[in-house]
Amino acid sequence: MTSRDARFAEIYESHHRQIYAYCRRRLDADEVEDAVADVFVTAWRKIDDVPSDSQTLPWLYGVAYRVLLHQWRSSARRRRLSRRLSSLGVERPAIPEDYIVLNQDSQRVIEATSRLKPIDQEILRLSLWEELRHAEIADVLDLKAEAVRKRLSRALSNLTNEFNSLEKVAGNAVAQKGGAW
Amino acid sequence: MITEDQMRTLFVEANPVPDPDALDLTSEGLATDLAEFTRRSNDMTDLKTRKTQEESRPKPEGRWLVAAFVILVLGIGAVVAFQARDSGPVVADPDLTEIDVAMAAIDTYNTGDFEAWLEYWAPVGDERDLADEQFLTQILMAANERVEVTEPCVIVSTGQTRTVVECGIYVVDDFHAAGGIDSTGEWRLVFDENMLLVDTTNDLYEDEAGNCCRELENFHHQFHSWLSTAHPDVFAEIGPDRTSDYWYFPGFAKGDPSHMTIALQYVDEFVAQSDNYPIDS
Repeated sequence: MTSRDARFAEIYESHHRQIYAYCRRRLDADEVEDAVADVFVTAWRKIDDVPSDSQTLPWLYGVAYRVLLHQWRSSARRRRLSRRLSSLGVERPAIPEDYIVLNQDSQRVIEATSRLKPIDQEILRLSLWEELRHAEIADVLDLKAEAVRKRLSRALSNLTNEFNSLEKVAGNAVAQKGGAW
Repeated sequence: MITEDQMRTLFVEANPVPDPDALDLTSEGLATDLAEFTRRSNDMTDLKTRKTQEESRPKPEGRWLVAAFVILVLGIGAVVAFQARDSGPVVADPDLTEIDVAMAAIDTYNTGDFEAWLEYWAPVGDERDLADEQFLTQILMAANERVEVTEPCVIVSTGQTRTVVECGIYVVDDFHAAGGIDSTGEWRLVFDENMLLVDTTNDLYEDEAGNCCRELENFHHQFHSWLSTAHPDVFAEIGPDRTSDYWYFPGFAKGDPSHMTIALQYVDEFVAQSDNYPIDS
């Protein structure tokens, strides 16, 4: 095994789980393996550019972010197709692995998050799910650390507003339903 | 109603994979992947042996290299196939640099042609993807916002994922200019394959304390306060929608960018009667 091979094997073995988790948090189950493979193909191609030690994982997250941007395009197309099929009375069979069961609060958190700007969604996830520091998030997203700090603060504020709005709508719906009875 | 601290906790709890170490990847994850790399490596060896005999057989040490090559070829094939399916809008000559595209995009922006401006954006780029972004741009275009490049655009990062271009700019529009408000700053554009993905510019109208847009907010609020008294019928039409305040351009109704065109007809009258505007630049 060459030093290049050894370096790649070390990166793969050390960070495969984190990259898998990163992708799984953002994709349906059937899309994860391809995305993870794409990330490590890129890592292999750019093995000489991969920073060492604590910088390796944020670098891989940056690659994963790019891979997922591409993957989301095809996901959007697939969702459109699914909706179209659904409107024609054709339902795609559910794949159990597609879904991670979330409680009601978490479902609402995910829905509220989807209303934010994509880059703000990603900053929130990188901060609170991947637990990266501002400077690391800045490296992943090609932002300035100060911009990350401000965007994160604003994103959390907006997320809170969106969540409260959803809660209010849900509360009204329950109240209306109650009134109808 | 929950607070931001509670929101933070809920967001953490909504993590679909809170503990990567708990993932069951032993059967289908790492071990399988490594075995697959090896299998592909051997497959490649068999094929080559038939054709070129022993000399082309990879050495055992080279299996990673061969496996990676196979993955690379598959990956490139997938990307080519993917791009063939999803070419998206073609707006720029592939030989152009991101700086060329940035300059062309700025020129297009200054024409106020919103549809032409959209063509510079990737399908997943903010401007195409987000109704709020489109709304803001249409408001600013209605205000005849102009972007003047004051410092040459330069590529500041080619990163592992995207290319980042920064241009020193001066920004002014007819509505805010009436109040003496304009701004200089850096426009920071992130490109993905020569198409705009996101504008990560720090807030151009930030004050010394780092607060965004306060100057704009004050102007908007005073304008609308005056309008509600001086022209209540117009205010009723274009006054801000209190139920859905636009978070980074507060003070304008969310529904219709054409309201800016109406506001332009009254802003000089407001400034003429205002004690606070125009401000000294």
